[in-house]
Amino acid sequence: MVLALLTGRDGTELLDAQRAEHLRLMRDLTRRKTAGDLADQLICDHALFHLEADLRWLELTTARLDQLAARVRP
Amino acid sequence: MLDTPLLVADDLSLSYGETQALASASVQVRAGEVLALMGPSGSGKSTLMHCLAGILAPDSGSVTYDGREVTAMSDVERSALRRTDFGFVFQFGQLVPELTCLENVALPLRMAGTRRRDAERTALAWLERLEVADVAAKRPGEASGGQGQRVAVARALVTRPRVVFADEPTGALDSLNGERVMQLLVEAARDTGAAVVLVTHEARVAAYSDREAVVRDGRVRQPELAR
Repeated sequence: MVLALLTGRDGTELLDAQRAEHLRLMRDLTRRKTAGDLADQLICDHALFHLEADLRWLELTTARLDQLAARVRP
Repeated sequence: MLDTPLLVADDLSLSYGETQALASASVQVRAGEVLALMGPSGSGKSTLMHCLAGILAPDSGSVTYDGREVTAMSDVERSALRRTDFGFVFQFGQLVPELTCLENVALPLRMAGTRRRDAERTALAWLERLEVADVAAKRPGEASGGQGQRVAVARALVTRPRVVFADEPTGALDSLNGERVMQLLVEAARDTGAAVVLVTHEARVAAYSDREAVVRDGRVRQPELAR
């Protein structure tokens, strides 16, 4: 994120691309879970909760982007 | 699924006093797809959904449904459209507390002129499909949160709408109940060919969608139809 901002890239775009990829993975896991047995459900739940935690961090970072940009690009 | 957009919001702006809720927001919904409107609290996603559903009129911009401009319709025409073509699921169900769950599901059919016996027969089939036939004779207050929300989904789908608007449909449920409600909602919508506009801030709920549009500061990111 810091490197992106230092090299003049759009931080929001980068975070959005990462969010879209996480959601794509979550869709795959949700489909697998819906069609799967209990073992599949438990495995997919584990992965889904980790991806969800990452997404929450991405969302919070997006909200703090202006603050971060001001810090790394004085 | 058709590629032609069924519902189009174009350049919508709406302010509540000094607060701008929507700022040139545009989004398209294809027939039969599940679209998640995501974004943080206060981002404008619920306002956008209400404009798409013809509940709120934007200050500027247009909403077009199946070639008809919703924003140019009278209140009566928009109400009729909501009754016939749209279904709604809200966070807390918003079922009529004085009616039984069966009567709640039958209500949209009764309002459309269906005879009581036919309406209740259809409503019961939907309650069975949503796995809550056992609460048919109970009032919403006697059902659990998860059961109530399934009844709300049945009520939204009973008229076979072309678009279902779901505003944080699992927001008041625990993980397991929320998951089942989403599975049943998406499965039933796909079977009937209805599009779903799903407002949520939860990624695990959005993961049931085909596509997401992120609303931030009243604007929509990634409004394109690609994918």
